[in-house]
Amino acid sequence: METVKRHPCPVCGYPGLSEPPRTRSGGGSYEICPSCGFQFGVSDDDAGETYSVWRERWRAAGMKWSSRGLRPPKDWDPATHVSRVESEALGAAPKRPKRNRGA
Amino acid sequence: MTGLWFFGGVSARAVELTEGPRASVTGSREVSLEWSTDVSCGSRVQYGTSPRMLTKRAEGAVGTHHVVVLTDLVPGTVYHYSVGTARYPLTTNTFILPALGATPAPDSPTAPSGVRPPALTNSVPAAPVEASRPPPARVTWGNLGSLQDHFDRHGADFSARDPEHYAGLAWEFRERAIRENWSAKRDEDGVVRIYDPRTGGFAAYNRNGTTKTYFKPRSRSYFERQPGDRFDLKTWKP
Repeated sequence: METVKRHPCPVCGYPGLSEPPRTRSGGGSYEICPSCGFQFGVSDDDAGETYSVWRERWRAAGMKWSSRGLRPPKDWDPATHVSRVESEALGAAPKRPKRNRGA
Repeated sequence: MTGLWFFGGVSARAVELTEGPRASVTGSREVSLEWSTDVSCGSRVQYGTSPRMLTKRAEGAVGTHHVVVLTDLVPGTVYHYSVGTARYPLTTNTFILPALGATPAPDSPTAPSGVRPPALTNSVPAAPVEASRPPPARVTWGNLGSLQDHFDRHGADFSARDPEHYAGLAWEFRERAIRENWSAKRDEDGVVRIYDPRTGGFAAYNRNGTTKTYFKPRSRSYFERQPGDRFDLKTWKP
């Protein structure tokens, strides 16, 4: 049975996007994340929203499932998904230089 | 596109546009809009100088042939409008009212009597009576599960009345773009992006021609910033 590949949302971590949020050519996929509602290529490229600001706003509003057309999967866990995407973001950030001990 | 809607057990048939709309000058500051529908219904025009701000309204009689006159217009101005009933807009279009002196008013000494006023320069030609009806959304929309969300987000840009109508408008946008060879780009994934600066409409389509999204960007430079190479739509076979 062929498995449809899913992609993580870089805003909320939801692992169920049907396309990569950015294409090879650099454009947005135009997909609207059903979890947080961010539309790649529109929310960012047209409205100027950043992933982190959108995430914080969505978190402050209670991390509710955004889509009216799709239901959340049974294992939808927004807190875990957000935690994962934030951990990955921290892991990708430049490390602080080590202290020069004993100098 | 026809649907049966049920309200409290009584079926209500959707109104369909059968002809027009067609805009004609009836005075130096006056335009008459005419259109026909398949069933008798009210006549309402909402109009303005911006596609997002159709703040003015004019109404006509109930019937199947609709005539609504817009008055106190500014010569030399582009007007955007929607025609339909009080509840349901049917289509949107644009006209340019000629500047004073550019077109003789029908009551001016230079206009022969009995001559029908000339049609306005419509920046977007009205759809022909025999225009193809859009296929159902399950055929034209790329990710059907997402259609409701795209409609919720962008349907109001086009006065779409429901997701099916919104998907149909996106299909009609594509078809008109191909017929009139509008500006388009295609990227290495085969995604085609089309923009109509006259109405501000933007749409993106998958390689197979199904719609990814359809909306009106806030930014005028949005299309220019999109990836892809300029693409001749006449060569596109979705």
